[in-house]
This record gives sequence, structure tokens and C-alpha cells, in this order.
Amino acid sequence: MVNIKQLEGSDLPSKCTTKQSVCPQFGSQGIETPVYNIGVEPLVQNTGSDEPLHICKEEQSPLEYLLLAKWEEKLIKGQFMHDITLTEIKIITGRSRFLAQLNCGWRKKNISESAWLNHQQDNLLFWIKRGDKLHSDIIPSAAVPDEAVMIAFNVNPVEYGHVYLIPRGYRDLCHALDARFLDMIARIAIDMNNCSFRLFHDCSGSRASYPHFQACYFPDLLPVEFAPVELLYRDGDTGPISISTVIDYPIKTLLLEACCYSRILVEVVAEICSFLQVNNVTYNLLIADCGRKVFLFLQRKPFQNSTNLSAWECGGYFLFRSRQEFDQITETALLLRLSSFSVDDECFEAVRKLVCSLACKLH
Amino acid sequence: MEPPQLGLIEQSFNSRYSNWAREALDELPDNFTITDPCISGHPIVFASRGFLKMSGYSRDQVIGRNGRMFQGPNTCRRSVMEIREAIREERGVEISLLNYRKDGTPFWMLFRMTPVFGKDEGRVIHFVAVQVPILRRRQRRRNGEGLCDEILSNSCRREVCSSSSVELAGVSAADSDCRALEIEEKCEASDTEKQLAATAISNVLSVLTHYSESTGRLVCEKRFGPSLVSSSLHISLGRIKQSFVLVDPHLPDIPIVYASDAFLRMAGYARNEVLGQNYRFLTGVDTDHSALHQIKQSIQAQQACSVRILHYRKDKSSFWNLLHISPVRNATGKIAYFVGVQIEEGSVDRHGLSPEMRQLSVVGSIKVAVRSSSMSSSSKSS
Repeated sequence: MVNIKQLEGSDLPSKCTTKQSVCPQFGSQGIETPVYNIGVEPLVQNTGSDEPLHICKEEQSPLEYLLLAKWEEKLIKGQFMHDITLTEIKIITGRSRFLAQLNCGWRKKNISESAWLNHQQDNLLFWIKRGDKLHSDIIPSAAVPDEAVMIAFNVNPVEYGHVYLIPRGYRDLCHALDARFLDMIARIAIDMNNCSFRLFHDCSGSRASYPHFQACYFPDLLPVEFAPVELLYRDGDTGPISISTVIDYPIKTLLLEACCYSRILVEVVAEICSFLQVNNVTYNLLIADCGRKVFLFLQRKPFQNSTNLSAWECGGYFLFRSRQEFDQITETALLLRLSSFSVDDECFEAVRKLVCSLACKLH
Repeated sequence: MEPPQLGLIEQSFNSRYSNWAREALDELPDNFTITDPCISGHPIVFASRGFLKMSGYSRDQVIGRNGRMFQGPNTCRRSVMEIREAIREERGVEISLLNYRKDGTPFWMLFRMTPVFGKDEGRVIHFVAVQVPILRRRQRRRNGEGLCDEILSNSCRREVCSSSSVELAGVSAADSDCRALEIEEKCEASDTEKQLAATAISNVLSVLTHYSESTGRLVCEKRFGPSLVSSSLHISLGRIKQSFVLVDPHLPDIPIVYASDAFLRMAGYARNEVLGQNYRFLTGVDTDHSALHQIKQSIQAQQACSVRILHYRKDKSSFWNLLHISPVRNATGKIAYFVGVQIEEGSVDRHGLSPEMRQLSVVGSIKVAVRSSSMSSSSKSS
């Protein structure tokens, strides 16, 4: 079982010093693609607690505008393994409201990490980088930026708009998520400004993988977003971040929340992730609510021949490849499936303590 | 005040019901007005004798004006918003309202309004609004005490009252800002008054229906033809600022069931002139038939297509439209709509994307919106 040591400040594995050569060298010279520049204007995402969080602001954002255009273009050109809009989705009867999708064409990724990464260059949609202007803008055609996030479509999508978000040119970023990359991810969540759009990250502690995020639109709230929570930590009464335990949910989950963009939230998440990775704990992140909510799912080590759950499965969204499975699946079976992957109480308690001490320390 | 478009107003009534209908309506004892939402300013096109007597205005002073001329400083703004909402959603409404006579005296009345639909067009032609003065019962209510007592006396079980009083407290708290604007007593209509209003509406509608038969332009109480898209989808689609329409391929003649504001601005039509129409109503004498054929074929083949087509605005001016059509599927993977995205040739995108990319972005947004909204509606039924 997982062994989590009590955390000492100086032991934090905040730097991963693997050489950059492991990182991808994208040979995309000469190919001009759009670049989305994130504006430098201070984020005043003043939504407080009085406004319902699931309601999006009225107008569509330029980033969403660009992403949808590029993704739909690939769909029209038939560059996906299947047309995701042809698949059927249903809500499974029961209290949890699990979502099931019937997708006969879907295949679980089974190629090696490096082969997969090289492959992504062909699927490039556009780049996202920090701009120097006040407002975010789109450059329709520009050279490849130095430090940026590559947006590549997933040829085997789980839902509409499924993309990979792969960091490029970030030094020291090879096996763990670092705060700068996470900060970009948080900014992307905010700039998308659509609550149906969720970003997620899978980390199986044992296997070294190049850190990246994925994202797509989910057609409804995921069951984990409905689940009740119990407050674990908050700095003051109206502090910028709060940490809660998701209760009454089959897989052990923490919810980290900020009422608006919070650098501290990003740093806490980055520290937790790198700690979990060093300690070989499998975890997933799900960023919802335009970056205001980060769910952290904690998985035990898989049994032989079984693979870990994906973040969307942890959130309560399941894919089925046969009609029979899709029709016969029950809430009980899914509850059992999720709980069989969860860490035990002891490990969860250790992670909870760690998260709270990190939040206190960083604040 | 906008100059009343009297010719248009007379035509609005006569072309639909004939001039004879005026006499028949004048024989009815009820107080009512008929308004036309398709004319700008949503003016009154007919006012009954009873209404004029009650309000103290002459017919000339009322025709061409909007119904808000009868509202005054103490008219509840929330009630006015409710009526406005009903007009926007093209449905009926019944509400107590404080109106003002010409001499400035306020009076309470029961306001009941209902839409009149064109049978062929499937859209709202007029609204009929009946006003029944509330004379006898002026009920003084504070914090719902009176009503709670009433419930208590009628109820055998204590918990019924306690739960009801909680609800009433909620209602009165929500009403408080509204009540501050009113004269102190809130007037509730009695069942008799409500019955009077319902009868008056049905009298007026039967006259209108009868006379519309004589002009051959039939009206009815219920909408025939396309039902509008669900309200949750309506909200998601509202975020998309570009010009597009949704058509429903499952209905006869594939009518438009949603039109964006940008589309209405581009084509120069009001929403209710567009809903229920087939998309070809934008075409004109010089429109190339091969383009139309291409659109028809792509819908039949359930495939996307792009055409450059000459379209006409309401004012008969023409423009080259870069049109992209694509099927849109719901959460079960079945085609729910076709979307038509229009870009006027030569228009510039503020984000610098090409017309093709702009079209595809809209299609993507609509696919996401329809997939999500059909999901939530299926969850309600399960």
C-alpha cells in the first residue's frame, strides 16, 4: 500500500531535476499556426458566493471561439477516429446521477508515452502563450512561440472538444506538474469562460509520464460536482481558498476551491501533485467551474493487468463500447467500480493532513 | 413620443379581421385592447368602448400608443416585468395591476392577456388584453397574517399551517420592494372577477376567429406549427453572438425554430416574422437556384455544406451571404436540428478569423449547446 511520510518543509520535491532532453522537441519549423495570447490584465473574477457558480457569463470568449473553430474543422475533415456527436449519453438511474456514453469506436490509449507525444505534433490546433498586451487576443498565424502550451486534438475523443494541453519550453518540467504550467492551465480555464468545459490530468505514480492536461466539454454536471462536501480548511472566514472533503462519494476526493483566481491555490495544487508523485500515489485532477474548483481524486495502486481510472471516470462519466454493457449498467456496479480504486482511509487521512499543512504554509 | 403609424395600424386589424369585426367587437360589453407586437412600439390597434369609458380616453388618444401609457408612479414594476416577459415568450398572463385613468386617478384591475396566433404562420399576430376592475374586495395584508389565519381555520392539522406560513413569509419578503412602490393595499381579484376576465377573452377570441375566416387569414388561440426550442437551450444559444438560425427537419417544410439577434439585425426582420418560416424566405428574384438545390441536397443527405448565395433583407435590398449548413445532434446522437450560419460577404471578424473558421466556431458552439441541453431534459424525465 501507499506509504505517505509526514511532510517536512525542506523535503518538498518542488523541483524535478531531470534533464530537459526528455522533454519533447517539436520540430514544427515553418508551420504557422494561430497563437492565443493571454492578456496581462489583472483577473477580477468577482463572482463571490452570492452568484450561482454554474451560470456562465454571457458572451462567448475569444479562446473558446478559436478552440471550437479549430476542433470543428478537424471534425468536418474527418480527422477523428469517430464522430463524438453520434454517440448516445444517458443518466444512470439512481442518486449519484452517473453519466454513461455508448461509444463503439473508442479505444483506450495503448501506445507508449513518447510515441504518443511525437504523434501530437500532427494534431496541433494552436498555441497558447502569455502575451504582453492588456487583453487576450488571437494572432491568426504566427511562428511557434518559445514557452507555450500546445493545444492538440485527441483523435480518439471522449467528448466534444477533447484536446491535449502540452507544455513546451518549460524547463524543469518533465515528470511533475509545476506551478507555472498549472498557472497557465488555470488561466486557460478562466479564459475559456464556459463551465461545461473541464480540464483534467491523470497521473499514475509508477510510470514516468510527460505531464500534460486534457480538456473537453461534458454535457452535464459530473456526479462528483453534485456530491456534498465537508470543510477541512479555510484561511479566515472569507479566505481566498478553501479545502473540503467530498463526502458520500465512492472514491476518496478532495475539493480545493477559490472564489476567484488564486495563485495560492495553484501553488498548493502543484506542491500536492509533486508530493503525491514522489510518493508514488496515483491521482487525478479535475478542474471545473472555470478554474474555481479543483477536484483531487486519490487512487490506490492498480491490481495486475488493470489500469487506473481516468479523471472523467473518477468524476462519474463512463464510456461503454457495447450496447449490451451500456443498457445493463447499474449505479451499484459503478459505485463498486469506483470504490475498488479508492485509497484507504489511512492514506486519505495522511493526504488530508498534508494538504492542510501546505495550505497553511503557503498562505 | 413616436409618431403613430396609423396606416399600418389600421391595416394590422383590417387585413386580418376586416372592418366589420370592429362593429362586432364594439357590441361586447367588456374592457379590452388588441395590440400588435410586430409593429414597432407594440401599439394598441383596437380599444373597446368599455375600455375607453373605464380609462376616460377617447379612441384617437389610445390607438397607436403602447399599453404602458395607463401605468403610473405606483404601478408595480415587477408586475409590468411579468407582462413584458409573457409578451417576449409569447404566452398568456393574468395579474392584478394598478392603472391610471386620464384624470390621474389610480384603480386596481385584473389584467388578463393572451396571444392570438396566425394559423398558417405559426407566430403571434396580436395580443388581446382584458381589464376587469377590482371593485369590492380590498384586502389588507401584512406579513401574510390574515391568510395564515384563514388557512388555520380551514385546516384540521397544525403542520399544514406552519409550513404554509413559512411559504407566505417567503412570498411577502420577496414582494416587499414591490409593495413599497404601490398604494398600500394589494388588491387580489376574486374568482368572479377571474371568471369575468376568462369569459371576456373567449368572447373576443371567438369574434376574431370568426372574422379572420372572412379574410382567409385565420387566427387561433393555440400555436400551430413549430414549438420553440427548450428554455435551457435558448439560454445557451443566447451566448452565441453571430448570425445563425436553427431549423427543425422533423417538421413539415423545415421551419426556422430559432433565430439569433445578429441574424434578425442582418435580415431586418422581427423574430416572430422569422420563426416558423422556411429558410428560403430570404431568397429573391436573382437568387441562384443551384445554390438552393445544394442546400436541399445537403439536408437530405444529412451533411454539412457551404454555399455563397444571394439573399434579400426585409427592405428588399440584397447581399451575398456565405452560408454554412450543418446537422446538429442531440444527446442520443440523433439529428435534432440543422444550423445555418450566415456571414455577410466582406464583413470583418474582430478576432481576425476567416469566414470559414467563424462559421465552424458557431457550429461547434451549437453542437455543444444542443448536446448539453438535450441531456438535461432527458434527466428530468428519468
